[in-house]
Amino acid sequence: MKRIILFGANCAKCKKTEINLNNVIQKHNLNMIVEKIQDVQEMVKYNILYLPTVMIDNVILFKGIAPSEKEIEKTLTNKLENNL
Amino acid sequence: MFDWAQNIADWFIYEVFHLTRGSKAGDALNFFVFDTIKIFILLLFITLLMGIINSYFPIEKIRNALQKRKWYGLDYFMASFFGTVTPFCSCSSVPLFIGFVQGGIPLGVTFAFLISSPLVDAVTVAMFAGMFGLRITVIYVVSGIILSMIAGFILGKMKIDHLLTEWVQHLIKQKQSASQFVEEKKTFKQRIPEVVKEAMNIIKGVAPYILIGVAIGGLMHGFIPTGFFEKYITKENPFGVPVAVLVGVPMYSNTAGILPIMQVLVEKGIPLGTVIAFSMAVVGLSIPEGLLLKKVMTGKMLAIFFTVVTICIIISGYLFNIVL
Repeated sequence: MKRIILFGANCAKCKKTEINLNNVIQKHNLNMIVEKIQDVQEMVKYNILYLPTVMIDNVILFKGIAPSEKEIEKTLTNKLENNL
Repeated sequence: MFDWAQNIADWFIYEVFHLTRGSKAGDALNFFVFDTIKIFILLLFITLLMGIINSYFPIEKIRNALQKRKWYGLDYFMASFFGTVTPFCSCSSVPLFIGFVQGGIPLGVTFAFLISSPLVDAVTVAMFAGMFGLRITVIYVVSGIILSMIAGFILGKMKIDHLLTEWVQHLIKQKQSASQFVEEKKTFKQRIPEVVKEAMNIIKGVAPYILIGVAIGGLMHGFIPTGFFEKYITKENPFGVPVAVLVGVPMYSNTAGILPIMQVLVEKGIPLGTVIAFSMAVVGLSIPEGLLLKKVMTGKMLAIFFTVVTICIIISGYLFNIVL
């Protein structure tokens, strides 16, 4: 199972990102799981400056914005195709 | 510049709705229609402009530039200036703060960025332009940048690094290598869709506040007699500015809803400088941001930070009232 890392806090943007990510995973039955990291010390390790930041395999997909479900779908499917 | 918008508002209210020119309801509605059109156009223009600048100078690039070279004081200006075009969400203040100080950027410069980013943002600039015109907007932006530089400089000179929380101090000592930020090369055309999307998100987010703010402003415009507040607050009243600022600091709000009301207050007799200082206090500092920053600084440092910025805003309020 692939881990999608979401660096976030308790703000509206971060919460929306988490919901949208989970919705897309459910909708397409993707073998992925969202791991939300709220610990600042962890963020420091990855050099995160902006919340929310979405990352897979150490690659940043979104930062500072709450991506819509459509955008997440597009990015994730692109990512999966490239990996195959 | 917005005569055509006034014409639309006049036509809509007086011709289509047959309200009488000069009547209270007519005036209030006319104000609402005109201001709404004007503000949304300005908002679109300014969020796009700031978005484009930000796209070429993202925060990582600014941080790298500040880290790599000695700027001999110019770094305060850089941080304050680019803070204005960087969209700010208070939840990012902690990672931003850490990211800066950990990279070896002086604490004062980091503070300058942290102050200017919420103080001069696209929404506030657009609201000022819409409500008070170009001259006042330029004064607000320039003084916002200068205020951030001065407050950052004072905080830097106070040598309060030891008041950071322990783990942050530890982190600074480790001095991790600079980030490996590689900027994607994008053409102007490729940047535009992202900038437009972000601008739309900002506008969508503040639209309800603007509508409510302008509606309340419209009502007050129509129904409160001109000069009404002069009885209570005048430029000569020495407590006007500090009271306005101290009320504004704990408030957590954007300027979208507040400034349309402020414009009417100015029209009805409250000094403009006092209103500008109040707006700065509202957007510049807030309790939620303070609570978040508690993760990286001790209560004492937080108190010093808030006090220095508050005093700077109060002083600028007095200056505005002298100049304007």
